[in-house]
Parts: sequence; C-alpha cells; structure tokens
Amino acid sequence: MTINGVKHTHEVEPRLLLVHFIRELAGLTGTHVGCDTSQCGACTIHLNGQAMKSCTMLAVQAEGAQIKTIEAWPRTASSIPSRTGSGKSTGLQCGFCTPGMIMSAAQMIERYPKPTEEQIRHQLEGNLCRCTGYHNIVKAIQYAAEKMAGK
Amino acid sequence: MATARLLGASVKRREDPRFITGKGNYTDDLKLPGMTYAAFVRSPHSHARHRRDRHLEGQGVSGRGGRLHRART
Repeated sequence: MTINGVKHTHEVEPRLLLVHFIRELAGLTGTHVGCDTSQCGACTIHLNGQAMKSCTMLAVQAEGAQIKTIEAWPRTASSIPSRTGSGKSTGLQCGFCTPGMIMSAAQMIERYPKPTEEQIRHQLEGNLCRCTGYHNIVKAIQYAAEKMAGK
Repeated sequence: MATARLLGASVKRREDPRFITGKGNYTDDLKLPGMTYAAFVRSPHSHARHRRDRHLEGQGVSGRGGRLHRART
C-alpha cells in the first residue's frame, strides 16, 4: 500500500490491523490507538480519500490502497492542522485525539466548506476527546474552515 | 518580571506544533532496543497456587523476555 506517497510492502499476518501496519511496520506513530474497538477515532486516516478508522480494518484489506495519515500534512501555517490546532481557540489539550480529529476535520471541510456548529458536532461523533469537552474543537474547525475558504 | 507576563495573560502553548503534526511521541510511540510487550494474566481462582504457564506453553510465543510472578497481593 502507499502511505503518504511512499510505497510500503510487508508480508503480514491476516489478523494484523491496518493501524498496527501504519504504526509498527511503516513507523508512523502519529496515528494513535485509543481504544482498539473503533469507538474513539484516534486512529482516523484517509483511505483512498475517505476518512475512516484504521483499527476497524485489516491491513490485508488495504492492499494496494492509497493511505493518508496525519504526517502527510506539510508543516506550514496554511495547512489544515495548523489552522485547526492554533489560531484563536485552542482545539486540544493532551493532543492524543488530535491527529484523528484533524483527519476527520479535513474531510469535513472538503465536504462542507462552511460547516455549521451542528454539522461539525454531528461529523465529530466518531471522534472522542477526553480533555476539551469539544467546545474548542468545534470552534477551531470553524476557524480553520473560514481560513481555508479565504485563502 | 517573568510572572507579570504569565499571570492574568493568555500563554501560548509551545507543545501544540508536535501534537498537530503527529510528532507527539506518546509512551506507545516509543521504540527502544530489546523492548518487549507485557501481558498481565490474573488468576481466575482465588488462593490458587501458581505452577506453570500452560497458556503460554506450546503456543509459539516467540522472544519471550521472561516472567515475573507475585504470589499474593
């Protein structure tokens, strides 16, 4: 499979989860394992352009797929992570859920360039955060969407 | 005075750039030489004596680092 433009080929056990392929074989630990049960969304990645939880899928099912992880974003002030993470409202505290939040937010902004608070809260139902109470995450995504629209 | 700038002011978080780029380096992200996984097996029987790890024998558990026992807590 191709992860962030780099081809990774490994022989794996059929039971290996995609998230463990990404973390342990590809060495990209920005994608987190929060719950192992597809509830928390910390492992959210983009698979062929679609945001999904990488612990919900086996690595072998992603054979040949195009994967994008949190490490794919350029470290520039104009990239989505910077815009969701910084700015007026701090959308994170411990940062563990943040990579998943950003991957979900990125697709959300693609689909709804001007998301309403209700849309954001609905779209983030699959991402759990135990620090912030979501309020600032919602504000940060709105801020990022505005910035992305205005660029 | 340093405190004057911290008290009553919004202090910019310096740790955020690594969190939002996937460079957080949490405990589960660490990789050290000779590192192994640990599993905790608790006795299903109260006051039982521990003799051997039948659940590990013959299951091809490779590279096992060792076992630590604690008789009673």
